[in-house]
Amino acid sequence: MARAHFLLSMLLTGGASYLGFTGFSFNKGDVIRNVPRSIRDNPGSYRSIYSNYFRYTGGK
Amino acid sequence: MMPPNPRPVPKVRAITCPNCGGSVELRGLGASAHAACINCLSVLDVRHPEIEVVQRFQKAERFTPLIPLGQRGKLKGKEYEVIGYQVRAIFVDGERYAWNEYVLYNPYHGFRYLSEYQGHWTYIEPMPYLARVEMGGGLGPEAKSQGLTYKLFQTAQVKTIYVMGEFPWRVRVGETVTGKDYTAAPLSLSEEISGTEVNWSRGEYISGQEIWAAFQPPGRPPEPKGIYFNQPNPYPGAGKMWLTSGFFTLALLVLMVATLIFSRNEKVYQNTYTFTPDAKEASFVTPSFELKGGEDNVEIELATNLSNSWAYFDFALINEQTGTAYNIGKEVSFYEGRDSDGYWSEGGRDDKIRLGSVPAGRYYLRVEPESAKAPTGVFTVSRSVQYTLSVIRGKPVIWPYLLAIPFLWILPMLSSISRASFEGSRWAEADPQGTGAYAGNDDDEE
Repeated sequence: MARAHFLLSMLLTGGASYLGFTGFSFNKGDVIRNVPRSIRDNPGSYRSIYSNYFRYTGGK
Repeated sequence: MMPPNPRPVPKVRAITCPNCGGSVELRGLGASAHAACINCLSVLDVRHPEIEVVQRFQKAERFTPLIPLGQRGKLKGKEYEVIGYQVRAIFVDGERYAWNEYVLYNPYHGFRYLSEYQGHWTYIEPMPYLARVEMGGGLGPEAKSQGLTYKLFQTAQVKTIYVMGEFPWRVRVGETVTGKDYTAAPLSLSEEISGTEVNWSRGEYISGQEIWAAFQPPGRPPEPKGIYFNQPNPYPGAGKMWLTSGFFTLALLVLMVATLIFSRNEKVYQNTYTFTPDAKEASFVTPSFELKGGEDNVEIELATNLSNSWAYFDFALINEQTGTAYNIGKEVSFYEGRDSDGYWSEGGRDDKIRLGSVPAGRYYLRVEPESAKAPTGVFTVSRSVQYTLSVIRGKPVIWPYLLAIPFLWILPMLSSISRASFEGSRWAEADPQGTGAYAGNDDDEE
């Protein structure tokens, strides 16, 4: 039991350190590869999937 | 054909019971003092050349030993024969609690005993010396022997209610002694006081399987019920685990501080923009910036001047070299006002969003802001939104450390709770002062 706890503690510490040092975030974004270089000259030509994102526009 | 290595045949002497005429087998080779006839249950003095009846009964409750008399077996590395069996009991609050005791004999090693109560077995050796009894530190009397401390568990008047076979002492049904049981599980000490005579014995909890393997009685060992006074706690002490948790908690805290210190946390881009919802084309790209290091996070921070309005920002973080785009969006909204309850506000003017695992390289950000184009409801919508956009590389992440720390303590806590719960159940049955016990009287002796 004590040995299992030691191993579990090592795993937890190792895992937490890895996530901490690599700056882990669950949000990886929506990755699109090979977007055209023309975006620099014509930013309006690029539309990501978030363009029709539903948003709350209320208030009290 | 002779079987290989035949077991030595036990030497048995038979006598005739002077009470009923039945045959009484003696296995104690002259070491026994009293024997009980299995037919009429009379207790006989077998040391006397003329066998004398010292106790006879008109009717008596009969018990059947789990290990038959005459059974031989090797226990603790020594061969013993079961030569006697008695049932003893204590009486608590009108209830009789009876247990079985077996007399084991080896002509070279003498007498040993086995006691069994509800499937819990104890191997007992007589002690040639007395244990030292002291008052423990607020926990009641303790007995000390051979460097071990035993806590007093129970004091009771112990009554012999049935005997069978031979005994090295002058046994009598109805005989009552004051018994005190001390425990340092799996070990125990028992003190029996009869008049001026005090006998100490040392016991050790033993499994029924071990008894069955040694003596091979018929059937299977009875399943243990409840928690016995010297039963070992199945939950190991959590001392080592607490130390381990303490050590790793400290390590995590050190690593967390190191993460805070050594994280890149570098502002790679910042600029202030103004967005007008009526603009023909809202999207634009920032100048390129360098994201250093290996894979690390990128945080985009927004500080706006919103008031009773919202803005939505569509971001694409684009790697100049590879053409890989990371698309994310963030809405910022802030509403405020006054009503009968006073001032209220909802949302915030500033917000941020983080992307994980972004490889190093040269990047630029495509930004497409969006906001309300016309007044909505009672609110006055600001027509233009001014905002400061910051891109930060390698924000320190400490939540994994904070999340891991409680998990480190779960096992030692569970283990300690289980162990304490077991001990609580054990000691709930304790009666160190013998307050509830009395000597019952249910003899039918003539």
